[in-house]
Amino acid sequence: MRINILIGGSAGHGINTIDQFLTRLLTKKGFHFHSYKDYMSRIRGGTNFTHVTLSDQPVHCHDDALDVIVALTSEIIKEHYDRLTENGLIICDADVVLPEPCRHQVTRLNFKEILKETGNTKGYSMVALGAIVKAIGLEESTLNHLVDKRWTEAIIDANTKTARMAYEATHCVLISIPKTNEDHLVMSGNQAVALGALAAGVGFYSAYPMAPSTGVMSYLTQYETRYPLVVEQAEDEIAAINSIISAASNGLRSMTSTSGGGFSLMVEGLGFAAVAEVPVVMLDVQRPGPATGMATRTEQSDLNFVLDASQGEFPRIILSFNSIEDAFYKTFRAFNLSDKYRVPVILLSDQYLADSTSTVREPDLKALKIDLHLVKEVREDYRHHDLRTLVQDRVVPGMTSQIVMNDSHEHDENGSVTESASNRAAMNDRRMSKLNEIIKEIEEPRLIGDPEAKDILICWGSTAGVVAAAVDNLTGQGRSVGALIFGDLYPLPTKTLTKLIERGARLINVEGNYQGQLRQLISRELAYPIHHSILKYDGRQFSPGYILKAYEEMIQK
Amino acid sequence: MKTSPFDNHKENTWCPGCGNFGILSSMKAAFEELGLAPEDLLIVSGIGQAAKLPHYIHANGFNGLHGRALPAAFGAHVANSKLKLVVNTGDGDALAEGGNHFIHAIRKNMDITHLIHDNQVYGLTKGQAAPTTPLGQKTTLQIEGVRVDPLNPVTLAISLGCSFVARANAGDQPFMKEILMAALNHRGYALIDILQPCVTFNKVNTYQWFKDRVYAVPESYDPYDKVAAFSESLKWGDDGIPIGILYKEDKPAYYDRLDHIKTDHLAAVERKPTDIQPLLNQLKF
Ligand SMILES: Cc1ncc(C[n+]2csc(CCOP(=O)(O)OP(=O)(O)O)c2C)c(N)n1
Ligand code: SF4
Ligand SMILES: [Mg+2]
Repeated sequence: MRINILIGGSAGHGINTIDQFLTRLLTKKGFHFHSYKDYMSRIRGGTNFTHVTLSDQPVHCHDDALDVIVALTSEIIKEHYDRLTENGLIICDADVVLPEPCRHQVTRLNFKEILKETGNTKGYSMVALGAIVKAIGLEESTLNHLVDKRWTEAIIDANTKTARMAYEATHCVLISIPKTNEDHLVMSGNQAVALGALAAGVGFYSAYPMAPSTGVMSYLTQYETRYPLVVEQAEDEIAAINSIISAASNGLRSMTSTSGGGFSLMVEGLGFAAVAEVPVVMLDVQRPGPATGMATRTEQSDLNFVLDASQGEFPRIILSFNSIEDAFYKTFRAFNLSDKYRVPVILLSDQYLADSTSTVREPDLKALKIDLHLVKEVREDYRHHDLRTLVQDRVVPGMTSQIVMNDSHEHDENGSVTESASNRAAMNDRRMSKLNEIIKEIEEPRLIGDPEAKDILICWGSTAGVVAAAVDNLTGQGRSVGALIFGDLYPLPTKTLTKLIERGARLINVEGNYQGQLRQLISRELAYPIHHSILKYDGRQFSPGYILKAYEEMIQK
Repeated sequence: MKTSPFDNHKENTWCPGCGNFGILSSMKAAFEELGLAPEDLLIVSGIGQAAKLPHYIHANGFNGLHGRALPAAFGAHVANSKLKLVVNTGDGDALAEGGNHFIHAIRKNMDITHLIHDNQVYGLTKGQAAPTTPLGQKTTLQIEGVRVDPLNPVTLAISLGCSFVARANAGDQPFMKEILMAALNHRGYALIDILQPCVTFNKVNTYQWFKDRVYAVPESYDPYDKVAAFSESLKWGDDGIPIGILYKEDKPAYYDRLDHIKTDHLAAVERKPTDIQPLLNQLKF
């Protein structure tokens, strides 16, 4: 059972505040939720909304149908009215224009009047919150939790009074709402990355601001003192990548994040990290490209780019996030993989996931282990790029009296420049062969729904949540369908995929890009063509309904 | 020849007579005189003839990408500020490909010694103009002469408030060694613009050409006077070329600005996943 609430107005209406407090109250009440914000790349004006989906089960995406619309402007009704379910509710401000005739329950509140009466001129968001809490059937005492560290007693009083007044004035209530009582954490996709990195012991984080990745840096910078950590806003992305490579070559876990444009500037550095065998973790929070593209919109179109970015051939690991919770674990794991194999790990997120917030099961930190793979005592026979082995601990300057050379040229086992043909071939073999070891630690994609179904949807990254919801829906209709959800992307895990191909499943890739980039990767690795695709590249995330519709159309043909 | 703990006996591919040899010898001599050991040092470079230097010295080395030596030095400094960091770049490495980093590295005032091997030409790529090549000077690529104005690294560094700015002449090793030692003892960004003859591609700015023009700034010279230093730095060519410590400014070094970092070796801090439990607790409502 899922309830969808859309709250929209213009920038400056405090939509973020409403979202923040509503989701806090929901968490307090034991609900799971997923909340995503749709905002324009501007500070004031324009139309912004937040879409909160609550449930008694973990939620990883929004739905198409809406149970409640809270409209602070007429545009919100114009854009979203058609999505309201039959029993759906509208809560709106006094001057919002509704369709004639309106067949839905409506609570029209005069926001300005309420604020005047309570003398709380800045409490716009509190009016909305009081009304929503009533509409979803929570008791009035829920509003006692409207508190914040930054607020004085007087503000808390005024806010609670405002919210209560709106609560009283709201008379439409949803009939059924799930009950639950669990404890969860609440985090955004970007926060999950930051936390994963901190859990992994990141000590240096350098990046250049670029939406939608900046949230990672903003979160980390608050905890510089506690960990201890250096967060530096670099002069450009080239500086960011080069400085983290060097910090990592000195034994400090380091990370950078950006979106596609910044990643383009980091490309030479990526190859350098790989040839020097320095472990780095790079996050690409995708937005629609090319060039500046759309700063606050989402897409999954950088897979091909990060797969092949940088000249020459070298091993790399590419992991994508299937959910906010997954972002935490994948980021943590990225550091261990990178240190163990001394290869760059690229994490693929996207605006939808990065800017979404959801409940997350509390991670068991004791079960996580940091493995730095550093040499702690002088080793006489140490070779920095040892041809006798693929996986080796490394020496970093200043940890022992052993000295070491890190080099961007082709080099010999000790990091000295050489153009020797036999050395070049041996070093290339050494580096590329790491992929054969890495693949053993790569996670197979998750097969959900009916594993024996004829139709198997294939997806990666944040599309996982929407595809899972679509599969649930079809299964609920008694239809047989499955989905194969890729988190780890490169080296491509092929066991499950091969089995599906062998049993003749019809594969349908669902991707937020034009080319079907995972489809292309599968075809490149397995020489297997996938003929059916559901693609979206309008800068907006899929919805389950979009996938269902496209799927129905496809099987009609 | 005298041996040094910093010798590494690798094959050297610089042209015989190249000014870089003098710079390498002076570095080794300065390190030795300061009692430094190879493991105390990290030599960082980009790409170019100058940037080969880390391969020719027995010490920790980081030979990164063209233009990117300064961000690399920064990362190393954050990870382990106990290391003595020396950065060797060409003029193209530091001022063209790495020009943006040069400006911003100075703003950080990190504790490094940066040597620009200023041969006024691109040596490694066979003689094209560098940002320091004089207007009108002919090169292998600018066959009718350079059309754009040269950049003066010393003037630029002074204007940016670099906390230690000096110039040395690769043809005068004892003097260069003294400057190097002063730079290595300076806490903050110490820049040395080294006049480095490229015997193969720069037939104008030769050992003799420099010898005829350089003069050491007098005892009475006050390196803390920014305006005077700025105007002194503008002298060039037949008017004489000042060498020595041209500018100094007292200001906190990068690490001294990190009030929250209580260690000088950040990479050695023990970290555990459970350290983040307090942050998780903040996410409970
Ligand atoms: C990204 C990139 N662009 C170009 C080059 C080619 N390149 C190598 S060194 C160099 C210039 C060298 O000049 P300088 O920095 O003055 O060093 P010098 O050889 O004179 O010591 C160039 C253009 C490169 N290695 N990488
Ligand atoms: S080309 Fe010039 S700078 Fe390069 S080694 Fe030869 S003399 Fe030195
Ligand atoms: Mg040069």
